[in-house]
Amino acid sequence: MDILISILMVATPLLLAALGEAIVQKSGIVNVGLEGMMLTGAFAATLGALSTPGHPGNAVLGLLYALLAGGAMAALFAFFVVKLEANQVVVGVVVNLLALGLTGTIYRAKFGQGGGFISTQILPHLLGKLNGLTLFAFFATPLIWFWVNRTRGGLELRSCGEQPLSAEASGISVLKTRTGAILFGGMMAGLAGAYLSIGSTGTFSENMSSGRGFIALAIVTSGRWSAVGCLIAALVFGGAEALQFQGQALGIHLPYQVFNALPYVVTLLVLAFGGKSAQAPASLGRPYHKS
Amino acid sequence: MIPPLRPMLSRRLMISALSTFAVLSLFGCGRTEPEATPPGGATTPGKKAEAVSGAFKVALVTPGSVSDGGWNASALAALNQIKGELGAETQNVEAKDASTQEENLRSYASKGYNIVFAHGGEFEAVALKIEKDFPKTLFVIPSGRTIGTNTTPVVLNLKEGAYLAGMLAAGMSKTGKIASVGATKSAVVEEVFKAYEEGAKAYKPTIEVIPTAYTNDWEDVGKAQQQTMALLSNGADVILQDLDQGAKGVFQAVDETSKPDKPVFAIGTNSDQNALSKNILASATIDITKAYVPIAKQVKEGTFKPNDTPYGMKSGVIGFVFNPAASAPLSADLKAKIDEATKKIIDGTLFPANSPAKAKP
Repeated sequence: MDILISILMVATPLLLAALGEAIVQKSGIVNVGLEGMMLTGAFAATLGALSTPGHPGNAVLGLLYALLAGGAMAALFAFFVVKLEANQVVVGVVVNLLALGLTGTIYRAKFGQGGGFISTQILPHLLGKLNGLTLFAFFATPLIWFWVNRTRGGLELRSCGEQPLSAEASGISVLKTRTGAILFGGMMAGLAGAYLSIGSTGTFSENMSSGRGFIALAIVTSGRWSAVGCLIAALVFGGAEALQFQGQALGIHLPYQVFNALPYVVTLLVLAFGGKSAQAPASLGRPYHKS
Repeated sequence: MIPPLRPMLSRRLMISALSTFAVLSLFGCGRTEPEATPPGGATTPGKKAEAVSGAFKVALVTPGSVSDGGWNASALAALNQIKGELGAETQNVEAKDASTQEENLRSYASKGYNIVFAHGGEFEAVALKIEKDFPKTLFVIPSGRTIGTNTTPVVLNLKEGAYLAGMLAAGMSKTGKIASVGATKSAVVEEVFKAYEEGAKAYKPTIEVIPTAYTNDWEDVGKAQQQTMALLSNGADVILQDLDQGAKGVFQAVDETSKPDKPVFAIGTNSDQNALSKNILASATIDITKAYVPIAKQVKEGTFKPNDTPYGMKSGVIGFVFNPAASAPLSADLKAKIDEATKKIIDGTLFPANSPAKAKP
């Protein structure tokens, strides 16, 4: 039971971010700024939770802040990559750097150079130690899968990622669809970040996403751009991470680096040898120029 | 028009990104302490500096954010005190990755700073490499091991506090199982956890001490929290941590797991973390100010000579503070035995994890 909770706790933020990113990539955009959007969400959630009178504040309000902050970063990203047709990878890297600098600076300005630990309320536990965000991520997975594969909206989204010219010809606005997908992805990343701060640890520290956004990117690729695939890949990574925590807790005598590397190695193997049937969207990463 | 990211390409991109993560975990990253002194190294005589004439300039280079409320924040506090007490001109910078270490040290030294506090053992190799270029600058390396010509280690015996933490953990444990969480393994970190185990076994020989679990990240709160949950679910009920921001994750896990009929506890390190939770029994503290300010004073007066005399409880740099608000009281016997051990450590008759016999006056 404890292992199961541990797996789900590791998997939740990764799944939330990956579900959003899967939609973004299906529309033909690669958002490397996922990490920065998560970090912004984590910080905004903390600010939101602390904004209500009375320490340690209201965690649910934090969720709203995280959604808005993730969406705002995504809007910035969308402006550059959709409107200005800038290189998506470069803009994504810039978003990551911007988020790191911005959250760090505001954090220090607000909580002092000395920093110290800030404590916020955490989201209420609904099922064991699992909160609403975990349940949301798992219920959202089939819904997103259904929407992408079985609805008209999903078909339009996919067509933008595969053949934007044909999509445009059949009356779909590629730019609007892609912008919408990016905003959705940003809000999901914001929620993923919120899970890291107010969803589990009840604090914020600089660079607290520490690479999870990149793992989520890997999960999207391992999960073959499908929501269900992302769920499986997130659980595989979470399982490997939980296993290494348990392995160390049981005092198994192996160099600790072996434990620490386990989740990455497992994901690497899944990526290298996993099902190769599904292809990436044909126009992934390619800017669309409306003529 | 930018060429599309083809499926194979993005797959390769992901594989290389993941390999990087795996390799990073294998070899560790972030704070590392240097290897032990090479034979003969410790006897290299340190050069005695002359009294400072003109402006007294002191710089601080930290390996992480000075907003961490612990290791790096305390260094900034010490720097500010040096500014206030000794009238020094001060500046500080964060060198978060190895590539910027040398550049930052060189930059301050070439501007004529009298002291550069390079706040972590990971700076030692760089300082020893460049010291000959800047004979007028003293490089100070906490947790360092090697005495250079104008580079001095500041040996911190946090292990003395950790020994007392071990006694406390063994005394408070109901399950007979205690544990610890660290970030990366190094000689200094290992000493701390070894002393913890020694202290625990000294108080209660039958106590089971789970080998230290490492998260490979000083700052990652989430990993520390989940590692702690795993330790608690395996029956450990007192956890010592030696982390920076990650410590908050340990406390969060303990607070969430602790129940009135089955209490679990944590022990703080590096700074006094007692106020963070009633489940924190005590903190083993480092007051780096008490080491840095005297060094700066001696440099200003021209009496400082690089040395590796450790700073322990006797100098007041290392402390052990009980949490007055802790949720569970200590038995009189436990309190008496910890007090007795404290006295022995200060007197120099008890050496946790083989601390050298010499101690700061």
